[in-house]
Amino acid sequence: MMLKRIKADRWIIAVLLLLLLLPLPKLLAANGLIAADAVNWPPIHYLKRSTDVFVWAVVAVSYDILIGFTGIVSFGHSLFVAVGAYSVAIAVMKLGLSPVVGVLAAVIASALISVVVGSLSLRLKGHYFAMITLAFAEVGHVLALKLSQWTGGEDGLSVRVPLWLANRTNDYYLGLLFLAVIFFTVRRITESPTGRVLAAIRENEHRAQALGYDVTAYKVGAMTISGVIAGLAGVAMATIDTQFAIASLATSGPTIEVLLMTVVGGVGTLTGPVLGAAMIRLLSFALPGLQDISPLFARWQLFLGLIYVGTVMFLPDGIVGSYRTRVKTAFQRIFTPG
Amino acid sequence: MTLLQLAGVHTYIGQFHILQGVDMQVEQGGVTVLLGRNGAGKTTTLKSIIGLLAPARGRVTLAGQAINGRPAYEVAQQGIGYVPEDRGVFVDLTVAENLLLAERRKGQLAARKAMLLELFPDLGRFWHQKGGRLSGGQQQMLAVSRALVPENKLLLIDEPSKGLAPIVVEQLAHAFNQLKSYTTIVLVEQNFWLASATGDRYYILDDGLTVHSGNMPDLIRDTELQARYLGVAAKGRAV
Repeated sequence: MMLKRIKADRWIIAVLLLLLLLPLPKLLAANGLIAADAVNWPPIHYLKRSTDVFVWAVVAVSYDILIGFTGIVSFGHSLFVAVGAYSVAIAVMKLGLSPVVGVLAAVIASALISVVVGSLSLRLKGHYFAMITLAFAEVGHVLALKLSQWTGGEDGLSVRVPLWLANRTNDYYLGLLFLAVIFFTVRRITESPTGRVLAAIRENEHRAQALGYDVTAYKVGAMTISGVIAGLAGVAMATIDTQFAIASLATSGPTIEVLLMTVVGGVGTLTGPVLGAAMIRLLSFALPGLQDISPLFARWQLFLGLIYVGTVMFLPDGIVGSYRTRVKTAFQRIFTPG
Repeated sequence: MTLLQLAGVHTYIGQFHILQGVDMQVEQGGVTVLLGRNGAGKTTTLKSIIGLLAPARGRVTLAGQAINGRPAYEVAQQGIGYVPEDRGVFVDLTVAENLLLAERRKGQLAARKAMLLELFPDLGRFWHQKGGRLSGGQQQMLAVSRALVPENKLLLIDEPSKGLAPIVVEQLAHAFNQLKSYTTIVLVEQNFWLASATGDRYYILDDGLTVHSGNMPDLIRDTELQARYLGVAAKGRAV
């Protein structure tokens, strides 16, 4: 069983190993095992960008629980990221508490808000639900702006992290570990009996209800798990990534970006959103830098839009989803007798 | 003993008044067939029982307990299995996963597996196949089997013969007759052969009202009633 699982995960394991090994020279240098001035690779911005990708990949995985495994399209998902980021920022910077207390506060706050938002909105269907989540996120955004004595208003709140977290190599490894733990935990959930019920709800709510499942309770549960994970990603953002909590996190912009990551990578595949996060975040960093080549790159979001339209038109299951479907179809063609 | 009772049930779908006073009494054991032309309100009656549609008026009781107005999942937990017209198979899940979903207690599927495979031996061959890759007949067998995993007091089965080959319909008739010793069935069916081969009692609905009821052998003999309400003459097999 274990061997079977390792075989199925060989690509994920290979990528994880590669990511683990890449900053090794920096780690050795930091510990005095090799000369520090001999190490120019990987550059700091690689570590910084990678940490950012890991954190956003967690947000995308959390969004996949909703859209991919339960069939819920929320336009207010990044509210939970903001809640996580502000919880740790306020705990550390305003209340002088330890970051660990901040993490606990983030988990509790994002869980409570998920339950409240879910209970109030999940009885609605389709675009009505999407609109109400957008409204909740906007309320969060306005509160973050107005409660400036706590949140720093438009300036946001920067987080002073312990010295060991101010090290980019450490942040890189923490981000990678965070993503790996969340990825495998979420996969375990989706493969559990609860995951099966969520898949049934995604396919047809009425059928699941007629089998005796309280669909609303399951959906609120899925939203809470997803919200807590997004909240933890917010904590990571405020500690190991940008080290900043800002009100714009709660707007629809970041949610749309996460939706883009999930759709481009492949809804309901878990690996797809991770790949999508890497693509979209790296392009967001790289494209503006190409303005010297063409002024068109000043409007770099245009390219993300084109990628989205292209994916929806030509790879409706996303990159990973379409790859899986095509490989499967090819195998079936080869091995189906007659 | 009366297991299910509907008294003056009125149900609306949107602004349309579909059930306009359905009365029905289902005794424990056997198959009660719900007959009627298209649009008579048969499917709406089943949905009103399971709770997918809430009756605006009237009373639905299961073993003496009122169940109308309660959410579908609570009604299902009272011991009602529902096999919808479209079979309700989860196409992205395997046969085994579809069946596991119906468990209300761990181990129910394991306890019932032998019985299910005896009823529908084909299921064993497709155990790890996704629901969406099964034929219509296999999906129907899966849908009925899923309703049998928990110990349901009552099965509501909606037009199981729809779109199926005659040989599969015969298999279903055989299965339903065997199931009489396990549970009570309310069967909505347009195929008069299947209805008459399995039914013990019948109710005829017309324009959302119960217009006739009785024992199935009486209906089989009454060709005039069949012609008036069902548009069939039960000569031979109408499969």
